[in-house]
Amino acid sequence: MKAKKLIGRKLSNIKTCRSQRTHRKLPHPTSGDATERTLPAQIAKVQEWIEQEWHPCTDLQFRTLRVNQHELLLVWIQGLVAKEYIQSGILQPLLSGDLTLETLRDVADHLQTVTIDPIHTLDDCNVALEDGKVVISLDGQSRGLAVDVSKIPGRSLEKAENEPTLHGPQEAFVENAATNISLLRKRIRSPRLKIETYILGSYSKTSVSILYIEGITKPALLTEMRERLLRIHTDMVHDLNDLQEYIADEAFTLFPLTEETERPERVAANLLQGRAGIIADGSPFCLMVPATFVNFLTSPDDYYMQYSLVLPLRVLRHVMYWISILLPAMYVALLTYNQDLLPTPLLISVTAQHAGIPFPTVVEALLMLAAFEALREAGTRLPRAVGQSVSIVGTLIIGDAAVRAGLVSPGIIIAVASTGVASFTLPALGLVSSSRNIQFLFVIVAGLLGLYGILLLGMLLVGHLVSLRSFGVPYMSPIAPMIWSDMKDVVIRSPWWAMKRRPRQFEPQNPVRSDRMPPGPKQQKRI
Amino acid sequence: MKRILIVAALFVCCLSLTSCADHTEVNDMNVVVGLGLDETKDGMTRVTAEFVNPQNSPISGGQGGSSGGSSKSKAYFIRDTTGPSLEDAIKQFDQILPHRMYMAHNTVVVFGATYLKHGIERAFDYLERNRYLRRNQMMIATTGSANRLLAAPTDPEPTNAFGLRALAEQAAATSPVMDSEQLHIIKQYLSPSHAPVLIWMDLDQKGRPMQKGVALLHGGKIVDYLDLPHAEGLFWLKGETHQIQVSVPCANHHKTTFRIVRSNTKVTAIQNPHHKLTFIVSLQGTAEIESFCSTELFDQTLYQRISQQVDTAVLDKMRQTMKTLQTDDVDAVQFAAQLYRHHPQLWRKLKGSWNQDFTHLPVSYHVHIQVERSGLIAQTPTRWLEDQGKPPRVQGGGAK
Repeated sequence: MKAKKLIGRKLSNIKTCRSQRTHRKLPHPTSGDATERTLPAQIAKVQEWIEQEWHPCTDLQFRTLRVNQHELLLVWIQGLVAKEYIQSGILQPLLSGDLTLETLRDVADHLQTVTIDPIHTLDDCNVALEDGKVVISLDGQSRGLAVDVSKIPGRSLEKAENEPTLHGPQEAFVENAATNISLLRKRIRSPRLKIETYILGSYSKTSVSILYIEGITKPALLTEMRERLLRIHTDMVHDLNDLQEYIADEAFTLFPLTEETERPERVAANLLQGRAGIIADGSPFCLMVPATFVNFLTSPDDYYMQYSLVLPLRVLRHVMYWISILLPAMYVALLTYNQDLLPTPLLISVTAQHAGIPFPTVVEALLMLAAFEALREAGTRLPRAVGQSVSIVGTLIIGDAAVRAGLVSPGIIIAVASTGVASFTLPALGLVSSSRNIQFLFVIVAGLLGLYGILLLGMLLVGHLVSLRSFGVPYMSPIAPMIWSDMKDVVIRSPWWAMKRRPRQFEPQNPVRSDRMPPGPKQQKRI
Repeated sequence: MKRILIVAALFVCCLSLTSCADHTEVNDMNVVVGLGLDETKDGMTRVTAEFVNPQNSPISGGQGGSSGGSSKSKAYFIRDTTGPSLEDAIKQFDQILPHRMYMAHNTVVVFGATYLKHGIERAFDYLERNRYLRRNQMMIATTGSANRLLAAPTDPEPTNAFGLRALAEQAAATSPVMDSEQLHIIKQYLSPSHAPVLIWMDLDQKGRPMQKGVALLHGGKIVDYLDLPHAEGLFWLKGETHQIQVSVPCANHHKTTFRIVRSNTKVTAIQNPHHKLTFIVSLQGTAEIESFCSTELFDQTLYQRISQQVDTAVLDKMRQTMKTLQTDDVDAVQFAAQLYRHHPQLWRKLKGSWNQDFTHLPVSYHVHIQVERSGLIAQTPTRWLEDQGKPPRVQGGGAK
């Protein structure tokens, strides 16, 4: 009941509908410059008001037309519109004949453009200009027209760089939300793919859209998403990463509670599992919610290769994740407190390596980890070609020189390098960032308390992980709580014909993928 | 807030249970890999410790070996101390060595003849209680001094203690009797038989360590040494064996050598109607021919005949060893443990007089070793079709 009331209140704020039926636009309730002033009937006053409002913006442009004693004012922002469309869609039709333009309807009837929206208030006028539309005001009319001839600059479709795969589609989202939605519509050709759009940020007015499949996604999840999005009161939404912090269930955690992806086909697959997506204009990513821990250890390639080959890769990734967190700490604990657990030849070897090293093992480990992080950060910030050079210089020259100078032992170089390699095997950047921070905590406790400290912190970590929720779904599900039916896509990836039901952890409205799933190979008729 | 406080309090408690006091860097420790215990003439305990010299160890890229050169170029170094007890002597290493003694990686404990003579149980308590020492360290007996055995080169193994342990492990692969790990020895010591058996190693004429046999102890004191040929009888008496060679003389002054691939022994205690206790030792195994003194064609009859020869050879050794054990009054075959396990009431009656009873305990033997393979590639094709050619069943007849 509460949810229904909430939705009712928000839907009552809808002021305009976009071209697509399911698009809804909600003005932010706290927009600082929102006014309900109606548009003046005299175009001089309109021009004066816009000039004052946008002063001293030099990219604002005006054009006045006189058509059979009727004066029209055209306003647009340079750079956001296509001038050739203004020429062919607005100017040529209006100036080409002996027209009678007494009402806005007459003007609209002669325009050769696709989208024309009415303008009632000065605020509508501002929004239209920001969206790259041409505002047309007819003298004597207290309304206006917003003609969509926008050509907002942006890049074209490119290959997914953050989530590269060997197989499968390669295109990635771009910064344009409309393009991103069209990429999804290309994959899910059904009216059940619903898109709800909200405008967030009193100044940025970023359009943020919720994507879901009607009839599959749990309605309570959507209610919760709407509630969390509309709770955001800010002046600017830069990117989806801003939203992550606003809508996450837990503020104080190192783990990502929403999954970020730039691959449209991954979003489409997740929507059909009963999850929902969030895209924002200006962000080349899509946020998937709810997100669970195992989602971050799943690579898109897992679904494009033969299912039996996925098991070793997933096991490897799970092992590598824990190695990326624990290896340097284990090295410190074993060399500082628990030497009895090392094989004797290994102990002799590391003892010889450590002779003459001026730092304790824990300091040595922290220094090398910090150096590795610095190199990684430098490699990320620099252009790609230079970044690779920095990595090579860092790993080969600095590492080798540090060992030769007797500052660090070769063992710690191996441990830190292995940790780095292990973290590179993780498919999700969010999880890599968290493991980079957690490994420092583990090294510090290992330096203070040895394996006992690792055990203590490990218990805290596991306790924290199982207490996390992402939009109500336990973060460690389907492992904790155990959901056997969902285990078919955790460590193993069952063949497609065996995945007849959607994951129970997301509580989809329709849990069955299809009534007529193809049979397994044993049931196939022999030809 | 209350929850956070409880978690914080628990965390502080956990932290206070331990501290950085145990913090030791690897280059601040002397890794002990071998210990030797001797008794001096004035009754003091002399402890010889072998330490790793990491810089010279080939494991870490050094050039050190176990023999030749000065002590500085070796992969190990040896120090000894003397004290009224084992723990006192070990404590003194802190006074003569710059770094802390680290014993968690000790692999062998060598008992010298003098220490064995006056009882090694003095060391058991310390070795069991010290939380650094592992219970898988090998206990080795020697008729000389432990110091000499630890210092003897074990090329190509650069660290002597590792060489000694490798020799002991090779011996243990043939029979559990040679398994001289501390845990195994302590179990034998605490068993009703109270007769641990240690591997015996001495130096050969060139001063290199070699397996000599087993040392028989009663309680913690040495009673006798059995050389390897006699120790084989003990192997068969006590249980499972692997890959033991047996030679049988031939009429033409040559010999046939068999390799008993594996054997298993079952010991049963029987009390007859006259209340006389008898032990039955049943041994079954399989063997193959290593070398054969004749050129006869292998057929069923020949296999039966040579199987009986092996049975007789094994039986003789078992009888001979049993006789020695009874003479020495050492229940190294663990008959008492067998009786305690299967006939506890009878054991309670006999335990007071077990030492006297054991010396004239009647033992009967059932030995059946099946020679399965000629060792040649070519086989008699009909052999496997005969019942007699198949491996023996669990229990059954054989030579008596």
